[in-house]
Amino acid sequence: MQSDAELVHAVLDGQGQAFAGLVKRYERPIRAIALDVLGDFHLAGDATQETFIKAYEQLPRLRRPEAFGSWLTKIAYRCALDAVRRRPKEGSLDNDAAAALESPNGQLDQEKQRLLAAVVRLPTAERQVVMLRYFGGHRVRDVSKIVGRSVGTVTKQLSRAHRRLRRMLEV
Amino acid sequence: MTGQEHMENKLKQLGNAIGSDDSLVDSVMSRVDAGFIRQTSRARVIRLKRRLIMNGLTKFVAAAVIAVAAVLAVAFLHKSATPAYAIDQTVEALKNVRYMHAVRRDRAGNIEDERWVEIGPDGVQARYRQDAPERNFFVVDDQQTVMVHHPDKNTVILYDAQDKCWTWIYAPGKLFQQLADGGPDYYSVEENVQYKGQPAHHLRWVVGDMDIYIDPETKLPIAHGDYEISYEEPPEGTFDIVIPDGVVVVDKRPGAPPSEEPEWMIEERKKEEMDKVAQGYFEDARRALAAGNYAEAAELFTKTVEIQPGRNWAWFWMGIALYKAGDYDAAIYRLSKVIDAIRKHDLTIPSYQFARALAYQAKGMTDMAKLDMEKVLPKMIQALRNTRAAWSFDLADDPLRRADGFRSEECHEAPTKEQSLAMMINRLRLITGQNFGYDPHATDEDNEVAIAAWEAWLDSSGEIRFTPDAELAPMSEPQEPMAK
Repeated sequence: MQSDAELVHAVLDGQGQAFAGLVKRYERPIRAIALDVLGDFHLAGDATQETFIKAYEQLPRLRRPEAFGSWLTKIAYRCALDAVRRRPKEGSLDNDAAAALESPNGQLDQEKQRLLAAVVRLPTAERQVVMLRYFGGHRVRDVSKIVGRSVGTVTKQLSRAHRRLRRMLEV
Repeated sequence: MTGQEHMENKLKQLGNAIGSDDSLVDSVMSRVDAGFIRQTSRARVIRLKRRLIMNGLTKFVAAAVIAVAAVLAVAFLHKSATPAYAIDQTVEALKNVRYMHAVRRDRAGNIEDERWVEIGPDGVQARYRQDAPERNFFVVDDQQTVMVHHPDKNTVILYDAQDKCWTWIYAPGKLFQQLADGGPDYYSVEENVQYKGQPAHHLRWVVGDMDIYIDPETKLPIAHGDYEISYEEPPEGTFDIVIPDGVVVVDKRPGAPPSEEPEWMIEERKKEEMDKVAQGYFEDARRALAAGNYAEAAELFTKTVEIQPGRNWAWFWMGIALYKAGDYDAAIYRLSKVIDAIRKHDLTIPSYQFARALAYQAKGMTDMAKLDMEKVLPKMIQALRNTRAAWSFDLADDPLRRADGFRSEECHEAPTKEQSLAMMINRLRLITGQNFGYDPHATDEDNEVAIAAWEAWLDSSGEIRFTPDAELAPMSEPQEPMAK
C-alpha cells in the first residue's frame, strides 16, 4: 500500500496513471462530502468526478503531498458549491429522470444524512481516517500507511472520532 | 453491542449507502490524460501560490455562503448557533493585532515553515516574511520590494511589491467576519476543548476544511490548520530586505537594468516553452486525425510524445491514426505500449483495449481481439445504464472533444446521454452482431427493454462476433464509431 505522498510524487514525476490509485482511494470520502453539500446522489457523482479532475490539474500546486487528502477535500467542497450554484431549479424533468435512473433512492435517509453531516464536520485528521476506514473500507493498518501516521495514532483518532460523533449526534 | 461498535456499524452502513461508481476511475483518467501532467516548475508553483490570497477566497466565501445557506439544513448544527463564544469576539480581538507569527513544525518539532505578518491599520497584511527551510524558500515583502531567495539555487529574485504580493492570511479579521456572516452552516464551534494541553474553543471552518483553535481569554486564534499562531512583535529587521552574500541576483523590478538569469531559470522557462510546443503538436494532431489525415496525425502525435513521453492520449490516438491508415502492426504496437503503461498503475481505459481489439481483428488475429473485447464488454454493457462509463469511448471516437486544455472554437462538446447511449449500442452491435432494438426516438420503456436484453445476453452468452455490416441505431447527430 503506497502512501498518498508516494502516489502524488509518482504523478508529479510523470507517472500520471498513479493518480488512479488516489481516485480509487478517495472516491467514497469525496462522494460523501459532495453528498453532504448537495444531498443528491446524481449531482454528488458529477461533483466527485469534477473534484478529481480539478485536483489532477492543480496537483503541481500541492505544497505538501502528505496533505493530499485534506487538500482534495477543499477542492471537493468548492466543486460541490459550484454545483449548488448550477443546480437546476426544482422540478426539472431531466434532472429528476436522471436521478431516478442512477439512484432509485435519490437521497440518503434523514438519519444517515445527519451522521454524514457530523462526519464531515469532524476535525480534519479524524474525518480523514473515519472516511478511509468506514467509507473506503480500508483496514486500520492500510489507513495508517495511506495517511503516513502510526497505527496507534490512527486508532486513537478513530476512537476520538467515535466519541465526538456520539456527542455531536446527541445534541 | 458497545457504543463504539454501534457507531462503527452505523458508519459502515453509511459508507455502503454512499456507494461507489465503478466507472469513476475510467472517467477521470480518460479526461485527465493519465500519463501526463505538466511539470510545473518550482518557480511557477510559487507564482501560483502567491495568488492564493484571501482576497479571492473571501470572494468565494461570500458567494458560497448565500448558496449554501439556501440548501443546507443540518439539524444538529443549528443547535450550535448560539454558543457562549461567538466569532464576533475574534473579529473584534483581531482589530487590535499588529503582528502575527505563524509556525508549522514537523513531528520532531523542527520548523518547517515560519511566517511573520505585519497587519496594517486597515486590517490587511502590510509587511511579510516567510522562511520555509524544508522547501529552500525564503521571502521578504517590505511593501516596496519582494525578495524571493532560493538558497538551493543560490539565487535571489527581486520583484516590485505591486506586482508580486506574497500573502498568507491576507486579512484575518475579514476571514472571521465572513465566517460569522456565514452562520452555522459555515462553521461549527466546540467550546472548552483542549489544544495541546491548553484550554481552547474549537472552530471548525467547514468549507475551508480548517480547524482553528481560539484562546478563550484573548479570543484570538492560537492555531490555524497546521500552524500555531502568536502575536508578539518580531525581532528588529525581520522585514528588512538583506541580500545574502554571493548569491545571483535577478532584478525584475521596473526600471532595473537587465540581469542575466541563472541556468535553472532558463531551463525552467525552456521546459515551459517545450510544453507549449508539445501542446501545439497535440492539438494539430487531433485536428489532423479528425480530418482523416492519418499520416500527418501520426507524425504530429509522434512529435508530441518525443517531448512528453507520458502523454497517453497521444500514444492512443497515434495508434488510432495508424489503424485507420491500415498499418495494423504499428497500431497494435502503440496501443499495447499505452495499455501496458497504464496497467502498471492498476488502471485500464476500456476504449484502449477496444481499439486494440479492432486492430487485432483487422490484422486477422481474431483470438487476441476476442480476448481484449471480452474484458471490455461488461464495461460497455454497464455504460448503457451509466453513460459516464462511456466517456473514454466517446473521447476516443472524437479527437476534437473539448478536453485536456484543448478548447479552441472547433472543439466539440460531449455528446448528450442519448447520443452516448446510441453510440455505445452501435459499438456493441458491431462486435457482437446482436440487435435488441434500441432506438433513441423510441419510448423509454421500449429502450429499457433493449438495455435489459443486452444485460441478459451478457449473462447468458456474451459471445464476441465481429459484424462490420451490423445495422446501426439511428442518431440525431451521426458520429461514426471507430469500429466502422
